[in-house]
Amino acid sequence: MLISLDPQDTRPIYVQIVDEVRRALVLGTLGADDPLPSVRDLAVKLRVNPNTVSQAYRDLERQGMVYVRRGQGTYASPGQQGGAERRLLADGVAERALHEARRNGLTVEELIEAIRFHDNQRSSEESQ
Amino acid sequence: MTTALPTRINGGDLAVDTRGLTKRFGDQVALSDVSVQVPVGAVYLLVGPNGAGKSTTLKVLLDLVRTDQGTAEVFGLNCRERAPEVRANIGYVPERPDWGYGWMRVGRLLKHHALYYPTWDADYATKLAQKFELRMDRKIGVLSKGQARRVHLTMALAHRPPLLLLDEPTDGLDPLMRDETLGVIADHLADSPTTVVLSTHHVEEVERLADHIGVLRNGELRAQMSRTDLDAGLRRYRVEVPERWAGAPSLNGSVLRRVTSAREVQWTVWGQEADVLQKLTAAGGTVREVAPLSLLDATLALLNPND
Amino acid sequence: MTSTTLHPTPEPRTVAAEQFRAVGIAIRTEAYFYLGALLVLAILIFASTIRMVHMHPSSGGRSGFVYGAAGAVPIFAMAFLIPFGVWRSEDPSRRAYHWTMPVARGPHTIVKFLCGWAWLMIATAVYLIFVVGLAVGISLITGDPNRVAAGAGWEWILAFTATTLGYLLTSIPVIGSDHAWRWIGGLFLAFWVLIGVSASFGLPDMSIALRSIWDGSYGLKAAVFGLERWGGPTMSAWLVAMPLWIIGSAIAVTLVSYRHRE
Repeated sequence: MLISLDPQDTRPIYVQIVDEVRRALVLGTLGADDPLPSVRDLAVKLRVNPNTVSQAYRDLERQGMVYVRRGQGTYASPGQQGGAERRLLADGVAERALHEARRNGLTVEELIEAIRFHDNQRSSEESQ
Repeated sequence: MTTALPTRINGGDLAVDTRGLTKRFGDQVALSDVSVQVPVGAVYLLVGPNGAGKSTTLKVLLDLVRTDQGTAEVFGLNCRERAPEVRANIGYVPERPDWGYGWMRVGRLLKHHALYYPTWDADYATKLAQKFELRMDRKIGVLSKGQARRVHLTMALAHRPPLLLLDEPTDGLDPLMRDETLGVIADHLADSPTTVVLSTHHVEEVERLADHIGVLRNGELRAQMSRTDLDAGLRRYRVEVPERWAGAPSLNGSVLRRVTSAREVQWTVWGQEADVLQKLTAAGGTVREVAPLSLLDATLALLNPND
Repeated sequence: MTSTTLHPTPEPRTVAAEQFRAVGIAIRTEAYFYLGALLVLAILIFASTIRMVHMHPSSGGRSGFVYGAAGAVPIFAMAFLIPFGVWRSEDPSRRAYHWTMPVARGPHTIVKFLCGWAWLMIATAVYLIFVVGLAVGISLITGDPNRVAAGAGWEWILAFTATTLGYLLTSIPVIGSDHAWRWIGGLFLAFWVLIGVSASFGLPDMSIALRSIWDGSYGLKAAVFGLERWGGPTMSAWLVAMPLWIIGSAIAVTLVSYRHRE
């Protein structure tokens, strides 16, 4: 399971890690009961303060997305591909899109219209 | 009401606690009333331009420089009165490359260093030497700056000191080695409970490691806080403003940077987001975007306010 | 005060032993040069002796020597230069490594100084053994044990005090300043200038005072070689001047070592 961080992302690191894990869970690249990398391994790989990784893992545990097996590490909780989790992911994507829209002075309606247009265009390209 | 930048970190056990350090070299002020607090276990980034006093502050902790005024303590030990005990708990990577007996070979120097630090972990030292690709049979005096720096890192880390003082630890290293070094530090932090104070110009590199920051300029500590507080308190606001806008005087004192173009102003402001938004809107602006800053941009804003 | 487990400082004995080894490495160049010089000297002396024996079989020529206080000159010169090796590339402004060690700085400097002195005493002993070896060699070559003679016993001990004093004197500027040679040169120059001034401008008292630093009863010449203004070396001259100079320079070395408690 690959976790990587976007250097352009200015959100706190632990938030980014939590989001990455959530994404992996929903997409299925991190399956039920699969082990997560150890705090130390992930910290070294990402060049991140281990405390930050611990914080992310604690957050994930609190939200029920992972569980800890004492002495063995952190594992993905089963049942993370459901609707509730997908909705959380969609929330994040929508928030970022709206942020961009506002930055460009667009209304919500203009954004939705543009999304629909592009989606239609892509579908017609794919069906050709 | 102006929101001043925080200059004190409160609460908790302190690994480093300096109070009012003042030092002059001739008529040049190196440090002026510098009070640094580094909590135990923190990774504290000391930033500032050249000559700001970063290296001097670290040297005060090692009793290499004696201040005219002020005291410094490391783990509760006075840095001047109990200097040997303080130094026994510090792993130091100096800025200068010619540190260590230049006529001694690297391997021999490591052995020499090991005898001064009873907690030296020989296996760890070997592992570090391999990671850093040290040439054990070369005299350290003939090594390049980057090669010497790697030896110094090995010397500082191998005895697992409770406090690491790293003065430009990646200076002179090629990008691959710089990345390797950060990995070694992250690995070291995971293994041993360590407090780190590091100063570097490559702020982006340590963005993910640092959880506290201290900003020095001209020997003064302009701001000091945890990353959490920095993330929460510093924002960039992009505001659309009407013509002949009178500005937002209620924000005076909190604005660090302002970039103006025809009908848009980009403010970097220190303060509560809700409070700032309210003030901007009340002054007639339309807030288009609120974004947190990268550590590098935050550092630049704190160091070089233009308002 | 905090929950952090603090690390201990090293044992003094460990530090002393390691400094001894480290200083040994530091003066390795000097040691090789020194041994090389001794070897060359031995070859020259033996070659000359052999040549003499061949040319004048009966008398063995003029080979042979009497070892006396003057024999300490070579090793004294060596002692004068050793501090530069001990403190190689470690002038005070660049001595950061030595000073960052988890030990008190004044004593640490003294320990390094003493380790250099210990090596010097070993070198002096080696020198004296070498002298004995020369003597044995010459006697064997010429077949005449009376070719060589040893001076009085104190003249052999003098080798150790002469070297100690030379080492002490040079150590003062080397430990204390960034430009030891400037101080040494400056001192000689000042001395010479003052002598000239006192001679040219009729200041006999100053002239006498200055000269006595060198060859008075408490002068340097007496302290190092037991020599007074005239005549050969005497034990009484040596015993009077040597302790004075050694104690004085030892105090000076201690002062400069503790000065950098910076």
